[in-house]
Amino acid sequence: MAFSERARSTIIIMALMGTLITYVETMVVPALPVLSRYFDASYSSLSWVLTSYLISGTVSAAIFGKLADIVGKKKIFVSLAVVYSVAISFGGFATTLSEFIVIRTIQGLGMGMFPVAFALLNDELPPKELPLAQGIISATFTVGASIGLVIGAWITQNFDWEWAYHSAIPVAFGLLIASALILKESPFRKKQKIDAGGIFLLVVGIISLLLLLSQGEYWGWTSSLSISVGLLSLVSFVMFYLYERVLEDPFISLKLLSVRNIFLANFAGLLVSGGMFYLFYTIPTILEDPIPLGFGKDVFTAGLTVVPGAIMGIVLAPLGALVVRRRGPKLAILIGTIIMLMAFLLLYINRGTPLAITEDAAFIGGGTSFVFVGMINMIIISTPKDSAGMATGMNTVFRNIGSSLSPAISGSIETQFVAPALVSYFPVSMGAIPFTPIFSNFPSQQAFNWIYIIGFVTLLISLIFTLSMKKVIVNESNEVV
Amino acid sequence: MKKLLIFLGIAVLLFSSMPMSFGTSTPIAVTSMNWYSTNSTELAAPGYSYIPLVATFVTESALVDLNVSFNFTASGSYFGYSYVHGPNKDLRDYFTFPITQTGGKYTIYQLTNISASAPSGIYQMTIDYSYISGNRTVSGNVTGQVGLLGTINITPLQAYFGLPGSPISATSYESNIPATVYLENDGNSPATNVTVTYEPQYPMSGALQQLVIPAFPAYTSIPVTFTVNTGPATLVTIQDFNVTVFGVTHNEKFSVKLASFPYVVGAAAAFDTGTVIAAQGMKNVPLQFYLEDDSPVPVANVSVSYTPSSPLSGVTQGTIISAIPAFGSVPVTFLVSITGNTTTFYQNLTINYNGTSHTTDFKVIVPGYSNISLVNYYTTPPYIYQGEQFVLLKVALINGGNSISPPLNVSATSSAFSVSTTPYHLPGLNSGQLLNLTFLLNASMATGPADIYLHINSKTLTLTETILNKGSVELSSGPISVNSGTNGNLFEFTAKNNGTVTLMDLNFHILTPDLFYIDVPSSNPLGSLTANNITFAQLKPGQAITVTFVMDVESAATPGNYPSQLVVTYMLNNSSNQFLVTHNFNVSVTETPIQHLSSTTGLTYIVIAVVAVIVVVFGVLIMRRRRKKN
Repeated sequence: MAFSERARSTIIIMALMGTLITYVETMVVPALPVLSRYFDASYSSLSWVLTSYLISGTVSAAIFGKLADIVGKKKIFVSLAVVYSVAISFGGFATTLSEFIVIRTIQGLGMGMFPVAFALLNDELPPKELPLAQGIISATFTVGASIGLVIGAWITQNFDWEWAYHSAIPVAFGLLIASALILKESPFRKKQKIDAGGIFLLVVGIISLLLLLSQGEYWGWTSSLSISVGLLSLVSFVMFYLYERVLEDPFISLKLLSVRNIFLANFAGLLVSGGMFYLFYTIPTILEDPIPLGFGKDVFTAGLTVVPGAIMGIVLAPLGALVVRRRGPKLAILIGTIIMLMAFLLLYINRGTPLAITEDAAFIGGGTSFVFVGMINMIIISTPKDSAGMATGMNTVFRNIGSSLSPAISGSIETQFVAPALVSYFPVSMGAIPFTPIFSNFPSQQAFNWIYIIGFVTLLISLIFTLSMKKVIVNESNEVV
Repeated sequence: MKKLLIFLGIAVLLFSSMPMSFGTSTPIAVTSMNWYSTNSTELAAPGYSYIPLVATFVTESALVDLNVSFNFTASGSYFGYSYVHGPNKDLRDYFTFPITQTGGKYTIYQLTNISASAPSGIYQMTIDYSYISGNRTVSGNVTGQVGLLGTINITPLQAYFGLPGSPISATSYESNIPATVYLENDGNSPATNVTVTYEPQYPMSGALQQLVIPAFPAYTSIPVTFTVNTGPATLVTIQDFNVTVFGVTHNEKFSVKLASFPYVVGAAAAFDTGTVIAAQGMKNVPLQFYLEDDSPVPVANVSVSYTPSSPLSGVTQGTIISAIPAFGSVPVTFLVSITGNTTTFYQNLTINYNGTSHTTDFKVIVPGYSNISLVNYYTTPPYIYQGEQFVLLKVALINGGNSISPPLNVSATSSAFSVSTTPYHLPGLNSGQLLNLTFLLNASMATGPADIYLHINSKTLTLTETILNKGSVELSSGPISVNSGTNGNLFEFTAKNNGTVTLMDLNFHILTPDLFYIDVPSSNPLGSLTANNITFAQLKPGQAITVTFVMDVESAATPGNYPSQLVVTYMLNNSSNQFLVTHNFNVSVTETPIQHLSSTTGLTYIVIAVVAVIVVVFGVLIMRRRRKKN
């Protein structure tokens, strides 16, 4: 299959931008324990490094996906690229966790580029070529993650985490210029209203839910504040549902969601994304925490441990696309979900060595690749073309919700179940011991057990959703059957 | 003694018979002076009368009407004139020589009465002279030496019932039985008209009797026999009688025993403590008395009663001895406590037998003694600083005596230390035994040498320790108020040296609840290892320094006061001791208005308000949309 030159240029820019965004997103993953020490932050607070990014990304995807349809996809893409480039330029200069979270929040706006990118591709490619293009873009997530996990970790270890950010600056600005010069504006326009109220309610609902998850331990789960925040979340979600129902052009189209496959694919995406982030949030911690609670490995080793997962993602993405093309997206999602389910089971019972964790991560990487290729195709196939941008944006929202929930849940559990480990010592004798040990608290194995059980249950629910999907496939004449 | 006196007498006589030379101005010179006759060696004794004192002199020149006489007035008060040629016995004999020849030898004498109280010795006797030289009378005196070396000493030698040479066994209540007393003159001179006067005394009786012994040669004994009646239950009686020699009466005593009556006396007393030597402080020590029947008659049922007297103590005890053989002894033992410190004393036993009772003295010696002395003492720690607590005073005592000591009460007192240890009440310490004691002291804030008094029973030993100046550092801080969840708060403290010594190596540590942490730069996380240790090399007297800790406050810190502490350790010059001073302070955590709003309570209200706003706003919007749709 040969793409047109214009489509090829678009795909390359999108792929590189996807790689960059994923790189920046994943390079902080192995650096999480480093950031915890640097900012003197608990794991619960640290989860906001990922969560803030994902929430702003969710909002960005929701707003800018539609705004792209109204204003023009290139304009929005380039504008977001500007904001994103500036944000990552400041990322390495944060001095407090609060500053860093703010920068990460702005940086998250860059995620709005994904639905715009998919929409651009949707405009330029015929439906038959779309799966491959989608698969390539999706694969860049894994490539970017691989680069982020390896190079980002290497830079973090050898030059400190700030330089991982600094390293992305020239690439970001290079791509910004390339986007401005190479991308062509899409002729498709659609008059739409931005569902500010819906976005607000969803964001409030998610943030309050995440706040409850991350701060409930401190506030007390039954305190008035926890109850009121929980109430706020519940009310926001309920009002969001009611509000979206009465809107003609809602942010989350309940009409689209009423389509069985779209509903199930989005919720499966939410759960699988959550599962992936359980892995991202826990594996660096396990590997870098001191013995005996962790393996005492350095940042680079932690990054390398996850790389096979990314490579598996790259390797299996075309296979996933092939499965989608030949047997439909449901099977790809099913295969991916089962692989991830097995991976979480393995993480629970087989994580005694870094190699075992590498194996488990590889399973998750491979499974994720299958799920994401299948999921995006399931949505695209099941959505009318003029709603593709909204559909993919909605999918991003669901995935981001899942991705933002899991760090908050993981952080809360890692803060709850802790055990002391020797981190250093004074060369001064203490009693019969020839030195004075210094202990610090780290997440215990019990914390990880709970996280992986939750991950397993999440994937189990996702599997049920997947099994409930209708089998669809695009035939040779680009018809959905 | 007798030989010595004889020797002295002969020596004096020889000396007195030697030619004497006087000053050239003396016209006569005494060449000899003797008793009885010229060149006589016979001794005169005090009390003798009418003894001629003979002097021989030579003249240096021819003298006219030389008149010579002894002048006893100038020779002392022990000699008197015995004038036999006339009625006036106080006059002395004058000898007149009408004309003497140059170098002529002449002899004069004077009958002399010697005072019975004159002590033996050599006397200077004065001879007065006068002669006519031209138409004037020249007078003067010369002296010569004469010895008074005779002694008379009449004492009772022995006494018994019976006549001289025929003793009898007298018993009680016999009448008119003879009692003979042998008197002995163990002086070197005979005595004459020695009068012996005796009147029997209880328990004997009889009339006043006086006997005169006309002559009592030296070194002889003469029996005198009295007639007496024996009294009741008399064992031995000691009787007084008088012996008068040359008018001087001496009181003498003789004793006689009733032959058929036993006589129990105290022979000896000693502590029966085995290998342990009796000493002061011992209780219930066996004291053994040996009672002896000092008579040929055995005695039975001798009741002995004993009440210990000082320095012994104890209850009155008694025992009955079934029999004491004649001239035999029997021990009786009583338990006493040695309370006093006298080592030689007498104890009285009351002895009762044959219906009579008498007391007997026993000389008792406490042979043992104890001497508790200080061997060594030291303190732990060896250097004591002001206000130092729990100082251990180690004292080593020894009993340097030869016997066990009394139970010991040992305590320590001091004005500079408070002694926590209560007094020790210990059993006696054996001879040579060491005793280690420990006292727990708390030093006062005074400095300098301080005495510790160690009281061992009634004895007090003074130990001296020096309390060293530990310096004085005053810590203070102003009110410390912080907001929760804030970093870089300054906790400032002032340390001032109020003492007189320089404080060295000061280390400041802050102790706070886990809500407050030392601010550690992210660039130097290992700085946390040393952050809580601000050091200063020294703080001079009067100097003040400000110590600042940069603290982070956890956001979980709720408003309120959090008790905290600043700990300062320091050292002094030339000392390895480390001193610690603490300063208590409160960290007041307050909320900023935003924090107040975001506090659990404030935030709850805000969230509820947001919920309400959402419900209202979106409720209205939803209702409107629905109406529109319809």
